Amino acid sequence: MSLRTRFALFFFSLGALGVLYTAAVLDLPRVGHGVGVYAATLLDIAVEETHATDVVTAVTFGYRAIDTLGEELILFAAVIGVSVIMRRHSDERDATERELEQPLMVRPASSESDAVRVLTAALAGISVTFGLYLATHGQVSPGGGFQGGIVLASVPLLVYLAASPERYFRLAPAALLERGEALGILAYLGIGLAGALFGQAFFENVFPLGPRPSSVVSSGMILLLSLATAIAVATAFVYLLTSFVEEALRQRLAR
Amino acid sequence: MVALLEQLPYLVAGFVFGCGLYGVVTSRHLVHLVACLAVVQSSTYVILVGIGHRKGGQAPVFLDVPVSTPAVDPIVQALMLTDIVVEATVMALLLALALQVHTRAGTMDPDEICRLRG
Repeated sequence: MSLRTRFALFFFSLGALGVLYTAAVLDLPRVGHGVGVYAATLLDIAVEETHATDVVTAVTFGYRAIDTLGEELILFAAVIGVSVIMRRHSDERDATERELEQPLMVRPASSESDAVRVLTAALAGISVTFGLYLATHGQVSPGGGFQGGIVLASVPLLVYLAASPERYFRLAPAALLERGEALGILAYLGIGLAGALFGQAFFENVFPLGPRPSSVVSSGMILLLSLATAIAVATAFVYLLTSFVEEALRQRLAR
Repeated sequence: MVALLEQLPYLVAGFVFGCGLYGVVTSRHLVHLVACLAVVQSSTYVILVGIGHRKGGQAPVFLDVPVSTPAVDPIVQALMLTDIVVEATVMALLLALALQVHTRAGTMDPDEICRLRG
């Protein structure tokens, strides 16, 4: 298809979509006035019922915890998918592994810019603290397992930029990542099953809710699920990063 | 017209969607294409936040305000979290596929790949 035909087709379709979309938008409830019954109910009861002051986290790891399990499995499937797609043929792999075992001295640092190295080294410690804070305080203030896990997953990448690929692989060895991912998901499932074991529903809270809503050690299941998610998310994303870092190293060695 | 302006978040979402789609259609590089797809998906964030908005509502966090304070819809915000996770996984898979295409076809231009395969 020529570029001209493609543009004609695209702008015609976009115009048609625009007209239909505008018509549909005019029929929607006015922005800022239609709050659902479900939301109104949750805002009334969630803090008292779950002892979590952040209702978004209460929804993610409390009322919709089973959906979040699905989300974790999506992440797990993506990790499997990427490692399958990036898998090398056996002869290719032998060659790269031999190259990767070259002595330390031969290989350069990841970044050649001093500014990048200093800044990323300074950020690594802050990111660890911030990630742990987000993962542990999600039930009190904005945050939670996903956000904390992502921030923690950025730490090895900062190390990669600040130091060398060796440091990266020492900080985040593949065996640790695989086990961490499995542990995170199993812990999540286990906390859900605890509800069933104690005669309640799957993912019903059976853990003590703590003294009062605004304390960090409160909200029972929500804090535990948040921690399990942080482990699963952090390891999953570092695993994804590792796949790409390995590929980048291969390309650099091939040159 | 006034009615349309009141629905501004939805219109912004439509605009972002259109921009991303334009990028997808005209893309000459697979990584650029993946980034454009991310733009398309980010329009859904605007929609979700728009749906959950409530006039005068604050964030649904009651750490330092009484529980009776009006707040925006927390459910769509939780859904947005799901949306972001899905986007991140889709990006990772697509970028891995793009890398494989580059290894096998030696090019990142979608048009050229079509020409190679006929």
